Amino acid sequence: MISQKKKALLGVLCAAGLMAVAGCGENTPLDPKNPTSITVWTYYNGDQLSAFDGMVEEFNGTVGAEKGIVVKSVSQGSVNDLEANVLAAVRGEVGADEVPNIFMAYADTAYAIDQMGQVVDLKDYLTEEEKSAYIDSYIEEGDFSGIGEIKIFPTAKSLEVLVLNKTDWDVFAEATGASYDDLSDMEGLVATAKRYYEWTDAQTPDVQGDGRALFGRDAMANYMLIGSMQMGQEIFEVSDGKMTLHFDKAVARRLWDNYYIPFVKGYFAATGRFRSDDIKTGNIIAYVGSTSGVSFFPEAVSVSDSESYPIEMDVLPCPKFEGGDYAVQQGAGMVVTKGEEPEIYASVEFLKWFTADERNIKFSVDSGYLPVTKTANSKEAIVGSGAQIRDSMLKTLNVGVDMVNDNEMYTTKAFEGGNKARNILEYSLSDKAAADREIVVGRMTQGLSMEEAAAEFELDDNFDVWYEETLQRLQEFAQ
Amino acid sequence: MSERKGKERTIFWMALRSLLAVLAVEMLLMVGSLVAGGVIQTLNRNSQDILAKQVENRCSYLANNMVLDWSNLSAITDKVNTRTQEFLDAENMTPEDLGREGGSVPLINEVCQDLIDTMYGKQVSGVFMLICTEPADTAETMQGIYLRDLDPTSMPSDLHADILVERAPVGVVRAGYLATDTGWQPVFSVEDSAAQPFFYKPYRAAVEGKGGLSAEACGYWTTETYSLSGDDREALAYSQPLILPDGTVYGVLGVEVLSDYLRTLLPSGELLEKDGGSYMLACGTEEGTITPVLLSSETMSREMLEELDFTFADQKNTVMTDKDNKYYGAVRNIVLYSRNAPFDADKWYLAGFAKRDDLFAFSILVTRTLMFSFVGTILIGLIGIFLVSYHLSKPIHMLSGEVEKAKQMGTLPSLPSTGIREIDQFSGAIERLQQEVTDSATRFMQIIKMSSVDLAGYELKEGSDRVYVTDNYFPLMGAENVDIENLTVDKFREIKMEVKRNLTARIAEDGSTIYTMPQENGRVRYLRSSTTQDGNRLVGLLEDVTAATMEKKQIERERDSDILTKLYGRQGFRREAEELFIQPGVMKHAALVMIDLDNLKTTNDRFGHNFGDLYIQAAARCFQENTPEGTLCARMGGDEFIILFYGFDDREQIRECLDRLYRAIGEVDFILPDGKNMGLSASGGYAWYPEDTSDLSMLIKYADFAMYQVKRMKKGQLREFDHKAWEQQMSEDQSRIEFHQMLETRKITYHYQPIFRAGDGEIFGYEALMRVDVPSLRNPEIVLQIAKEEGMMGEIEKLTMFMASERYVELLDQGLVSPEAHLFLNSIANEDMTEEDERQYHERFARIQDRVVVEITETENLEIELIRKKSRAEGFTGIFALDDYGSGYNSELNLLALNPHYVKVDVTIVRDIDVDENKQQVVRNIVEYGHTRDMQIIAEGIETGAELTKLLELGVDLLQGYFLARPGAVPPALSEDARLLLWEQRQNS
Repeated sequence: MISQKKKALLGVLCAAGLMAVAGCGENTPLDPKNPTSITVWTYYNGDQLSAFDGMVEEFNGTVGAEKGIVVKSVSQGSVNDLEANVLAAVRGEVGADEVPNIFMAYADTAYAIDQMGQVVDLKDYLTEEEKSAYIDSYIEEGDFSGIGEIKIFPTAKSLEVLVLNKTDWDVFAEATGASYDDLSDMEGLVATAKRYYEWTDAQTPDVQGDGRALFGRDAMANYMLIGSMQMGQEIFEVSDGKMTLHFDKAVARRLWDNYYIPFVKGYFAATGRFRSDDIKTGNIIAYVGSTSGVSFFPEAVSVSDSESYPIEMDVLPCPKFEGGDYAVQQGAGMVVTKGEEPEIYASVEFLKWFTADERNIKFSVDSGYLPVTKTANSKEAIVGSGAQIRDSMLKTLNVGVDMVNDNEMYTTKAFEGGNKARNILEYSLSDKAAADREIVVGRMTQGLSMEEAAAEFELDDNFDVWYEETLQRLQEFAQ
Repeated sequence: MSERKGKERTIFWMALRSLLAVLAVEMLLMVGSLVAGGVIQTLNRNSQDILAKQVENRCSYLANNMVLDWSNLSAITDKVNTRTQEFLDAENMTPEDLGREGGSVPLINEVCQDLIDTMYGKQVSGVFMLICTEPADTAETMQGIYLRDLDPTSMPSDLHADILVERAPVGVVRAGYLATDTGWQPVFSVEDSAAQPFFYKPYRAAVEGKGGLSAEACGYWTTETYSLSGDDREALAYSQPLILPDGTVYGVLGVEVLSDYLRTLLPSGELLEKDGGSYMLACGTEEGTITPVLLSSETMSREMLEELDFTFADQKNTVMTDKDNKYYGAVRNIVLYSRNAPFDADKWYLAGFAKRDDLFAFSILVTRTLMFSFVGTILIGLIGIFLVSYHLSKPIHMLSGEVEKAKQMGTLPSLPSTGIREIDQFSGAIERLQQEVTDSATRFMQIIKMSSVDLAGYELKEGSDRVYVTDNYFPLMGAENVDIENLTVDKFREIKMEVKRNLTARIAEDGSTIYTMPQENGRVRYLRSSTTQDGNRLVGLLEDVTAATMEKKQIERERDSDILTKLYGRQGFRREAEELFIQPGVMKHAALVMIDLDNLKTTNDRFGHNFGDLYIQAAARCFQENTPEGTLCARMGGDEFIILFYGFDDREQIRECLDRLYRAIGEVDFILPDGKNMGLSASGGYAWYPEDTSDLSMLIKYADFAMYQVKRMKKGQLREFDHKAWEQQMSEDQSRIEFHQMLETRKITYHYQPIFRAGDGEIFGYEALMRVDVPSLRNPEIVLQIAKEEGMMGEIEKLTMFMASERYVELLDQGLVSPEAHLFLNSIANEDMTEEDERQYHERFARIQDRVVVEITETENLEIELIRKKSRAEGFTGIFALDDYGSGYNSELNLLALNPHYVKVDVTIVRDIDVDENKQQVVRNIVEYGHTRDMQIIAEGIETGAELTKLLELGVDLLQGYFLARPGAVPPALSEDARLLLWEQRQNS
């Protein structure tokens, strides 16, 4: 009897013990023993990608391991690919990948996905203090409805700067007395470019019309949008996801005069895939491009397969149209998609970690992006972070930080079809310029002078035709 | 509570032990079933199998990509070759021209889209084409194009937005449809081909193949990752040579797979349920080395991998381990090349591996969980067992405490209730039983007290230091004032021993001890002490048996006393004496006297038994009256008396008493019926206690021996025991006994000593000599002596004749003695065999009888008639030898009477004859005497060469002695010394 009682007692105790052993369930969203895996899609390439992957690796090895988060980084190669793949995934298209937990997106894409109900509003995942740490305009970018929601988590921002082949510029400046001040506004830039063309053309007195372009530009849409802003007009005025078009003819004319005209005349150029390619092959010596593209700036110019010479670079603020102090705010933010609570929690944890000052600065200096928090976005903070900074990057960030502080940062608000509308701005002017420049070059090879060859395109009619056509196309997106 | 054999145990321990045993068995069962069931091994094997399966699947996927897709470049190479040929034809250029600066720009621009399409189509991360018209390893720079798509799995982007140019001539970049990467360079440089040029090997293979090998056959996968100069992305590449239709090798075309991209195709996460697995793409050789090419791991860094040194762990190269055996890997071969292709020696493997701990995580978890529950079960079990045992034993422990307390207080225990029914019933029963026992003990004690016999007792218990003793125990033993209340066992034993030391004790027939205790009034008190062992309890009982003993003694005395003399009879004496002999203190010095009346027989004969009785009574009275009081006098029967004097301080006192007694005996004057006076005559012998012996029986024997010596020599005397005489008697008796044994068992053998002829040293005969195999009878003379005393000479005679002859015949048959020799047999002169014996002898030994010489030993008085009779025995030749001549005993007379054929000169004459003139004369005489009468003279006992020389000189005929040959069971030959000597003598003469 005793023994049976004893056994019974033992049995109960054993069972209790086993349950204690077996029952390891905790009621927290994350479990270090059973890590939550999240996927991040970026469009990063080159230095940005290595910088980002390095960060991810660091996170996985430290905080991630501690909290039970494993981040997988997937680069989709380009913004457009990323957007297409995200849309395909969200739509559940055949062959599409699973929807990532986090993807990088511009406001337009984020807006589009949000319209499909897949974006998490992160405001509940951040305290007021946390929110206020980020630069206001960056946070506001994700407030599609203007009610304080955060649908885009700012991680890295870029803006446009003027990047210069200082080595060749210095020769030119020495010879002609040109200075950086001449490059501070668009009209000054165009005038300097004309001077450069003429100066280079004069280098070979026996060959006429072989002047070289000073300048080229990436991201034409930015030129149009920010130029218009500077002139006091927002082309896409968006309110509640609805766009009102302001494409004033006078503004358009000024944009035309400062890009199309110098382009067809050969003061400006764009032959390579990107302007950095033109710098590399010695086509141009200055361009406006994203800070994030600075890393593509070459250390040498290859004028032919066998001739090359080293160059220095310099960074200047982006030339503006006199008027408003606006600068382009670009660089996608991170969008968190809907999913299991631990995944969302883990995603936010990662993003917060990623944008903490020290790491944000480190990522910035590695990738050419600008820090997103107020405290990190200062020269002192960047220099004081102890991060190893390349000279070119330091120049870029110095200029970039000043620009952020001196200007109102502008980016178009998301609206239906915004992306397509933007693409009209991107290509309508530049494509026409490129096509017409080809005609000019053709005519010049037939013996015409540059002025003669370009005269046709300087006519007002030429502008009017282009303007009406572009306006019409843009109006399709206005509501 | 209970007394058991063996170790005492508490309830607590018993319960604890049983429960522990149950627990242990359960645990053993649990562990045993796990071990025997092989659960862990099975789990581990499953993990290995799953890993292997996963690797296999991944391997076939990868092989599919690498072999069927990426390596399948025939479409693009065909196209490029065609375009190149067309281009060369159109431009009228040579392949060398292509390699010049800018020479290939138009061609590259032309095939660029095809290359891009190939890259997209194959979903590789890069594609390249090099123009090399001089040996690739010597060219400084090479024209060509190298394109990358960093997102090979994504849909191709519009306008080639996702393509970066790593290498392309400026002319191609300026064309503007492709963006350059940061590391863009217009041409391939030496640095690109530094470590293991991805393009070099296939190029060389094709060049060396001299057109004998197809481009596909020369296809090559880099076995190390490489990176282009100015770029840190690592990649693997597959390349094939570009060969024009005329066989000119003009370049290399290939695809590149970035390591990072390849890693995404090797998702290590799929290997294990949880992270921890890693993929390794490796290249190996036939010898079984494994060189990692690429690692895909979420948990391991490249540095960690480099520290590991994997080797194959089986013959089939499907399993690998590191040298510390911390990792386990499943390996599958990827067949990238066709058999006998130039690079077929590169064996490619895909390995999925993990730390054993991770791979076997489940079984480890299971083991750990089981261990935990095992340990937990044991712990909880132990605590539970302890508690249960404790609670179970507590009430019993309490009860036993109460009992112990009561025992100390000397009261009856009052047992408290434990709340356990069985135990309470049990303890109640014990209480009642205890009460009943106490009551009955009290009653019994009163009965004992009332009884007429003094009874006392004690009880000792093993393991207890307390002694229970009745109040009257020690008073009865004669010890007063013993504190029996605080008596320990040791103290009790000590007092008891002390008291006993002063008491004489004897063991009664029933095993009890009877103590004799002298009382102050001169009486004696008898106490009977007995003990009983009952388990571990020793109970002693002491009983006053004085009355019973006295009564018994009286009866015994009456029974044992002689009716005629009122003295003790034999029985009585023995009993009394035995009692005395165990008390040396009482005996002190003592003498035991045996007395035999000398004249009883004649008195009885002459005057009848009645008068004889009176004679005895008178003697008895005399003995009684003339010995000190307490002397033990007894009639042993007939005319024999025994008197024990004891308690004397020395022997002188006893001697005085003995003198007085014998004087008194001498003074007794007894008037015979015929009116004559007759004195009392008694022969006596005595022996001393303890000087002669302390043993009663021996003492009687000694005294008896002394008395018989008196009786044999001179009656009426008293004689002291003589130990020497006794010893001698005993020794003689012993020899006699052994003599008879000897005869019975025939422990006699005969040895034969050769007798040689003096003339030529040849054997003449053998003397048979008796050898006795009994310790005390080694000397044959003693044998003869005893035989004579015992009247057994005839036996000896017969024994000698038969046995010596029998043995001799055996020797003869075996050829150990010379058939010509004579056999000398010692005969006892005055003994004769019966005619029957003689006839038997003749029957058995007729064949040797004519060679037998009977040696007659000289005796005091030789009976010639008997000897004559001997010579008449059947078949006997009648040849005698006279032995021991010259040893005494009327030698000359015997010589005359016997007239023997042989005379043996005694050893006493032979000894030192070489120096003794007298002895020489004796021999000279006998030789002269014998030779004139046809007698032969034998000298026996010759021990030295000098003796022999002298004897030969004196003219003896035959020789015998140790110098020549010793006697032996098999007779030895003539000794070397004697042979030499005899030979010399013959030479001299």
